[in-house]
Amino acid sequence: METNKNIFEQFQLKEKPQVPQGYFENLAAEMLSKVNEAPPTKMRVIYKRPLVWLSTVAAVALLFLGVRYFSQTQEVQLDDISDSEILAYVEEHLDDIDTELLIEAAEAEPTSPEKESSASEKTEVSSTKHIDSLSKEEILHYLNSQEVDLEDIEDIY
Amino acid sequence: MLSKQRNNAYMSKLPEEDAQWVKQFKSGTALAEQAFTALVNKYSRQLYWQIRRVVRNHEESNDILQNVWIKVWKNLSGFQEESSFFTWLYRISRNETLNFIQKERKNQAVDLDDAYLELVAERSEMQHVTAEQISLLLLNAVDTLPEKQALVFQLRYFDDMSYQEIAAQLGTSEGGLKANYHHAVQKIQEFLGNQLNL
Repeated sequence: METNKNIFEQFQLKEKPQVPQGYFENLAAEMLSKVNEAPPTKMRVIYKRPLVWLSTVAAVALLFLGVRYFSQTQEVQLDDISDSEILAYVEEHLDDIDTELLIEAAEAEPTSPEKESSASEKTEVSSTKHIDSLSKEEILHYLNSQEVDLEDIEDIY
Repeated sequence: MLSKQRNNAYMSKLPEEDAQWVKQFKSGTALAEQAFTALVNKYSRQLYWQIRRVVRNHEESNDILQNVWIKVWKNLSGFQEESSFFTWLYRISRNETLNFIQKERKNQAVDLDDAYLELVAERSEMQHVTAEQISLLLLNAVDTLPEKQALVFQLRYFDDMSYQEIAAQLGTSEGGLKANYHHAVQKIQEFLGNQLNL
């Protein structure tokens, strides 16, 4: 053997240890019986399978997107309806709609794009200012036109 | 360096006997078992002793060797023949051995073999080293080698095979094998010298 180097000259291989009698002779037959055994059925841990995970995530994502799209679609549909159509609907179903609700809604809606603050708050402020600017004669004239009995008002205040 | 195409053509020359068994196995007929049996009988001794030098215990060596052959049974149909069959087999055996040591050897009280090397008494340089230590160091040194050199070294040094026999087993030229062995010995010498402060 071509091991002329110093280190390799300082040790040598020992005799090999024993193996059980007939071990190598029987090994091939033993291996055939093992490879032909039916594999045990395993509990399939689904959540560890990446393909199942990916499919689940994709399904949830699609569901979420579908719900969002449906919601947006509803809003879009409302936006697509013209004012005349809305007015026609309201007139047809006026009896079913609470008039006070209509008034509140009207007061809540901003009257111009420039108004960023609460519409009701603005309406209240503007109403207050308008009332303050009226004279007594104007107020009395209005009340008389509405056939309001002044004595009723005095009772209240 | 050989181009990939030329290298593949060179390496596809499997040892003829192994090539026939592999082909027969891949045919998937009833003769697959016959081919498998032939390969088990041909290579088990070599693999066994390579494994046992590392794990140093018959029961564990047997477990690892059986795992190797089960993997061969399951994967031989997909063997691409880019290397010799024995090189592929050696790679599986090496991986199974390392996996076993890392994961399965939990019982440290197994009955271990004596060291497979013994010191030559009249040499003085290594009196501070035990046979156990040098046995382990040699295996560590082989681990540092490229796969081909490690394989050639083991077949030549441990299995005492001739270059002609190794060439037939690996499907390579004798000249290349001699160079591989020479380089392997040099590297192992250097490794051991550093470890032992020689």
